[in-house]
Amino acid sequence: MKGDGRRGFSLDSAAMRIVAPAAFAVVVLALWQLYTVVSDVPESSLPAPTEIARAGWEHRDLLIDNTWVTVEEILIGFALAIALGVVLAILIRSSRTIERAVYPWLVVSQMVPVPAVAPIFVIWTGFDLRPKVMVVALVAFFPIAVNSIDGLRAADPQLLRLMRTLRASRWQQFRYARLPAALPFLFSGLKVAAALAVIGAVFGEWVGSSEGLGHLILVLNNATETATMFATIFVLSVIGIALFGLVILLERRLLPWYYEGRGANRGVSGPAADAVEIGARL
Amino acid sequence: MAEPPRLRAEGLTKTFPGRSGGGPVRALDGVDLAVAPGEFVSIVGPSGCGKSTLFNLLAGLDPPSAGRILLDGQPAELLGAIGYMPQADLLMPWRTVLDNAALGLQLDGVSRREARGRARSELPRFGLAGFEDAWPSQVSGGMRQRAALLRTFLAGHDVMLLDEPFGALDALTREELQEWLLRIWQEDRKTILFVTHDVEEALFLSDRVHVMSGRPGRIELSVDVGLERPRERGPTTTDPRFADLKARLIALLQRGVEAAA
Repeated sequence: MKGDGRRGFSLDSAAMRIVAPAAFAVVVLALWQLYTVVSDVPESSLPAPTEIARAGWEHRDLLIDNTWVTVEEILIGFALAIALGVVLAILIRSSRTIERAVYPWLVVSQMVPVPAVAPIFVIWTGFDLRPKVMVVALVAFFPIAVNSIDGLRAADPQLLRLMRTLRASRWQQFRYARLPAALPFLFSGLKVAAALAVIGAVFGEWVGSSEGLGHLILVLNNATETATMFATIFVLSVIGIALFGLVILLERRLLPWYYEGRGANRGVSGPAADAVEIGARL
Repeated sequence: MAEPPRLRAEGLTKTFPGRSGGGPVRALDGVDLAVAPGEFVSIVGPSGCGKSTLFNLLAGLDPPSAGRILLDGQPAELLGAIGYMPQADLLMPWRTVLDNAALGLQLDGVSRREARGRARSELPRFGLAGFEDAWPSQVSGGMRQRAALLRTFLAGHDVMLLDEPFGALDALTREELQEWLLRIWQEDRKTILFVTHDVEEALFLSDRVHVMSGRPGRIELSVDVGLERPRERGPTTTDPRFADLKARLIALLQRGVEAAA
């Protein structure tokens, strides 16, 4: 963002990157609050932010208990998605035949509407943790797999030739060149997958569940507890942001060269860089 | 010659199957070449004359269509026996300067600790002291080339193919690195085959210079430089014999370019 001189003051500083979006949020919340006061919109349709906060606090035990359920589904499903995505990517990149046979179906698998498949998982496994984990894994593995496949192609072929003159075995070429070159791609996939994982968990719970934040939303909807519903949505968003932040934190730890080496955020700029920046601070 | 040349190429020919429509392309045509142990030999030629193809054969990366390559007079497995430094430095962005330099040792099964230790002890000589923990993208182009050279040196090859290692550098850095390379070579006496399109660079560095012509690539002329060592930029480059050789080689290269055009 260097040289961005559109304003009289600097938008570059790290503080501004936090302050500006926070100020915007405050403005939106204030307008929202004002609207609920001046209009006659019923609280059951649009509760005021203060009312949402109050309801959330009042039902904090309910929210916390259900949060653990959903977080567990997300984490297990996400881990499964990583394993599935990475293993598939390595398999596909290891053989032309496997690539030809599997890759088209990988793409086709994304045309299958996951919410429609979810009930089948419930039939298979019942109402426990498993169908939700499966839905999370199913929606989250695709960006991981596709990015990893691209990543495993990313190593410079010249570098691989050089490594052969240094007596590198195929495994060493993988370990020292293909794999590290693929990691930034893997992390791009993980960031997309983090957002999808939360969606997957909510879907999974809607289809068949007796607990979790997604389930809670259905219950609250029936009871017209709109303010608590909003509070639940807020908690779900926080989970999503936290997962995203965790991925970015991990990326910074594992790929210091990607950040320090290129100067912070080269390759990502503008809003994406800000999102990364904010995510990293959460 | 009493002892066989360290590296010898006999009648090397390389033909590539033609791309869509065209017939096969002959990139190299009967290249003969010999480099004695500890000798510094350069190949000059216009771009596209098949220098890189030749190096790929000598490094054992591609098989020749005809001809053979001998190490110490014997046919031998070349891949892994010959050091190869391509034009691009090809440092791994995810490894520090030190770890990049130590790569060859590590690939040979030396522990990371020991590989790093051995690389570290060479850093001052390669002008990299104090930069061991920098990422490649944080150091200058000249340093990157020296780090790549150190990687090649440490891999334990005593025959090294250097493909225009200084081609992408600015003129000043280039001259500095030429002098530095001469010092290193004088200390270690590796056998070096060096590709460049810069006649002056070739003459300044080498014991012998081969001039290559393009399409198909073949060696048109070989000259013994015969200038005393150690060489220094001023005295060596102003020597009348240097100017003489330079004029001869440039004239030959220009004729080659015109003939090809």
